[in-house]
Amino acid sequence: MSTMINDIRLRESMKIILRPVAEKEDEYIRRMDADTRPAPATLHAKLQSLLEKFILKERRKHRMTWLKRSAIIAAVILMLAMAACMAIEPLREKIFGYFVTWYEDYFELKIDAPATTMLDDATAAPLGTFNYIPEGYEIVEDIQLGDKRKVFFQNNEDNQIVFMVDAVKQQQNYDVKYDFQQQSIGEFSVMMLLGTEKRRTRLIWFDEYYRYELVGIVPLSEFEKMIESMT
Amino acid sequence: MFYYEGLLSALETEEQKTTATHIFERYESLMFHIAFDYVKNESDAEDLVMQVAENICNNIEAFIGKGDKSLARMVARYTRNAATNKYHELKRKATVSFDETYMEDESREEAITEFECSILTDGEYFGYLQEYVTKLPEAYQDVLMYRYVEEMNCRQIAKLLNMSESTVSTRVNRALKQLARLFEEGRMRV
Repeated sequence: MSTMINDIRLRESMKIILRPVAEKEDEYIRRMDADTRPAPATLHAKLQSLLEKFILKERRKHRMTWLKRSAIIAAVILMLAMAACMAIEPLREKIFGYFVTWYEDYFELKIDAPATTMLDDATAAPLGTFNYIPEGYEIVEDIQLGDKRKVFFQNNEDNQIVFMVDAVKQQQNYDVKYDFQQQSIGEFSVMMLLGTEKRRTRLIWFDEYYRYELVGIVPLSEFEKMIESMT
Repeated sequence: MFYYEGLLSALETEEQKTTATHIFERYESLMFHIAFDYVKNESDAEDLVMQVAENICNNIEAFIGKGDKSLARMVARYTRNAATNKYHELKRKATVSFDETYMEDESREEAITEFECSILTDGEYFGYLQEYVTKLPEAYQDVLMYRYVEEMNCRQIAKLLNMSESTVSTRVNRALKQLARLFEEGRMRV
């Protein structure tokens, strides 16, 4: 009887004593069985936030990779396009022509300002007077406002020569659209602009204080004579 | 499941077939993972699962009527034992097996003493005993689990583990004795 009671007591005691072994086994089973189970749908908040951060980081990495790839592809396409343009003659000429024209058409003409201010009596005397005027031309209008003067010459065929005088008060930059030649006429160094519209001749020159300009459809030799005769 | 059809056809009753089918369907992956954990080889693990499945079919009566938790533990323990044996076999160790090493004198019946029984049944010591029971060899833990948690008798355990009934009985007693000894040693140190 005593053995039987002991046996029952032992059985019940061992059930309790063996609990850690059973728990360990259960844990082992859970771990092993989990290998085939999907991840839980609801995660711990901390784990969830960590996971989200990780995903964001990965996405950013992925995005950067695509940006880099896109930039490389764009650069390659650009280079290929340029190479193609260089290989095709008409395109090449057009492209180079554009740059060359642009460079030729626009350049800066820098004029230094006079060392002293304009003479007080400069306005009193007429600015630039020609002793020689091309045949058939006569002055039709003479406008002088301060240190500016504009004279219009006209012949019977209504062709005009315009003479302009303007004071150089400070350093001025002139965008000269057309090509020009420089030559000495009398005591001046004159710029002759070439290729102007309507076959006009346009000459520009300077002295110490003024900028002079002559425009008109007149042979260059006539203009040269006018400039030489200027007082 | 295709592999288990032959095994299932050998079972006699419908209850046996249902239990075996349930075990294979539910715990096949568990068996495989445990086996793989030991042998670290897919094909060996598959062989092991087949071997375990065959053993389960041979001892299907021990599994009938068990709950899911109990079934999982039994299947896991069963697979672990088979895997351990397979592991030793694969290692081709010259040494004798675990059973032979630790249980060489198991044929001799050793009943636990009254004093040992009093230690194991004293509720005050359960906390310490729970700590020491995890330090017992796995083979001892297994028989204790079969005997006291699964509430199987020695004959059932013997059939399940493919050993003699007396060996099982001795192993249970030795496990209990060793547990009591571990407790005594611990108390002596304190």
